[in-house]
Amino acid sequence: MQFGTVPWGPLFRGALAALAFVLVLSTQFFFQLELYDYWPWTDILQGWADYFLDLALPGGCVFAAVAAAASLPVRSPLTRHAVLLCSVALGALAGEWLQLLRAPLPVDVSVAGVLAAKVARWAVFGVLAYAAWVYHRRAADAAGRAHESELQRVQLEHQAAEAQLQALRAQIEPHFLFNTLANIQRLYQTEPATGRTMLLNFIAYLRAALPQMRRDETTLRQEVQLAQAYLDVLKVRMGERLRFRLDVPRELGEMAFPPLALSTLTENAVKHGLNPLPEGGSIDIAARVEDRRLKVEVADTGAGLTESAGSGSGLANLRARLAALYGDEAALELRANAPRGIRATIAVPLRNARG
Amino acid sequence: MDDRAPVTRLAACGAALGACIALLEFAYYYALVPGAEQPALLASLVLGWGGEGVVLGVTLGLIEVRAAPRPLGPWSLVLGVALAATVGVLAWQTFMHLVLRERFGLQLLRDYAGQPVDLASVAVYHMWLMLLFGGLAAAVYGLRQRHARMLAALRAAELARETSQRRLAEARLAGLRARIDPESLFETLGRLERMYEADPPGADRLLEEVIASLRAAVADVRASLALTFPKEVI
Repeated sequence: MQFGTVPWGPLFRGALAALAFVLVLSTQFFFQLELYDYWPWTDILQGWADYFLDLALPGGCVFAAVAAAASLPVRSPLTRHAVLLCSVALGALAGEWLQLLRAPLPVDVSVAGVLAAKVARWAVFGVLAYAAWVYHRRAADAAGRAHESELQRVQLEHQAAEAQLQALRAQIEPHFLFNTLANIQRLYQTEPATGRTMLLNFIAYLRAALPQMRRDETTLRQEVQLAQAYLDVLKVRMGERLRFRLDVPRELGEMAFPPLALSTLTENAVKHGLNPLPEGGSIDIAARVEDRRLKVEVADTGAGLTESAGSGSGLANLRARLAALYGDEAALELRANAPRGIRATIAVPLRNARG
Repeated sequence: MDDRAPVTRLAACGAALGACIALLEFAYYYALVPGAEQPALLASLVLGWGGEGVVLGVTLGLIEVRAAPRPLGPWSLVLGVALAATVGVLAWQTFMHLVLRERFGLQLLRDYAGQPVDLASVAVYHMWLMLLFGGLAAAVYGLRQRHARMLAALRAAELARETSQRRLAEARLAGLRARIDPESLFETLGRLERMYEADPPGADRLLEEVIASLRAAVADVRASLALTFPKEVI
């Protein structure tokens, strides 16, 4: 504590607590039932007031001693406990001694004995009250630190969720690249001339697509263009085995959509739906608004819900990304298509990408 | 866990508190009593206060056991002390008066001090002191319990915070590992395209390598993400 600054708040609270304690202590006077037999009420009240003053003198001395000891610049906690408890005893001794000067004992009573008894009583009160106070302060301190730690945890969780989203987004880059490159490689091995065109197309397409992947959100129009470019690339290889139709209303083009979500579904429809079938099939991509949500559907007439269809890593990744971006507001559904194949639907909150 | 532990513990605390009050009383009346009777005075004081303290402790302990697993709040502690002090003092003083004093001739404090003793005044005086000391001791006890709970909560919070910190670090690492450098990717793809003209088998091998490294990157990230967020990504 700096010299010259007096902590009035704690001093005032301490004085109030000491006064209250002495008041409580003084009510002992009323618990002497013998008095009521032969003392009138006024005398009892007078006696109580005297008794209160008898207690207030040592009580005040104890308070002053403790306040003085608390202001000593003692750092070590153990020494501080010892100093404060000693100050209780010393204050009580001084107060009770003053009290004896004010109201001397009968000559035949030992002064030292009475002083010792009274100081011991104050010491017991002091130890109990001090222990209560120390535990109270430590509990409040621990509670405060726990709260702070909790706040930090919440903040860290938030950051971790963001980092998770970024990691997921970063993960689709290699995933997407390696899927497409594997396709190109297969094509190259069968038709070298077409493969080379496809690689060139793919490089040009990647230059446009890569920046888009790194965004949190893109527009539905860009997503549809990307999916169409992807299907066009594959059409070179699959020919009549791949037929597709896009039905996306122009006014939905500027709506926000998670990047590569549509490409992932399209990729899945080709890979797990049409590829296994010799005759191939068709893919229908349609977008509509339903319950104030944007629903984009990829329906294929491929092999259908086989074991590999729903458990693909691309779908798991997409689900995780949707959950991280929109929470419960987004959904990814896979259902059987009639007469066969899979109907995959993504629903996201309807929102303009620029607003 | 022993369900009865608080009862024995608080009974011991009550006995210690009673002994403490008895010693204080003894110090007060020490000078007023002839030397030969002092040991007997001390014994009767310890018996009286100690017994009350034990009854107080047992009552509080029973209340605590009843309230378990919830800890006792400040108000239930105050009520418990008031109840326990009243019941404890009345029961024990009645026992002391009617059995120990009347039947076995034990002298009580005021007998030694030469004043008349009646049950009501002794009980009221004891109740007051018991409430005062018992209340202070119960406050210490309750705050001590609270302190222990807060420390446990603090440890749990610190642990949770460290877990979150680790998750954050792992997620960041996973994100860094997956990141592809566009420059080197396009350079590789361009080289691949040129190689397909000059050296098709070599180009095939290179493409194989690129695909393998991409696949490894995906698996790597997937593994570290699954480690960090086992529920979301599997």
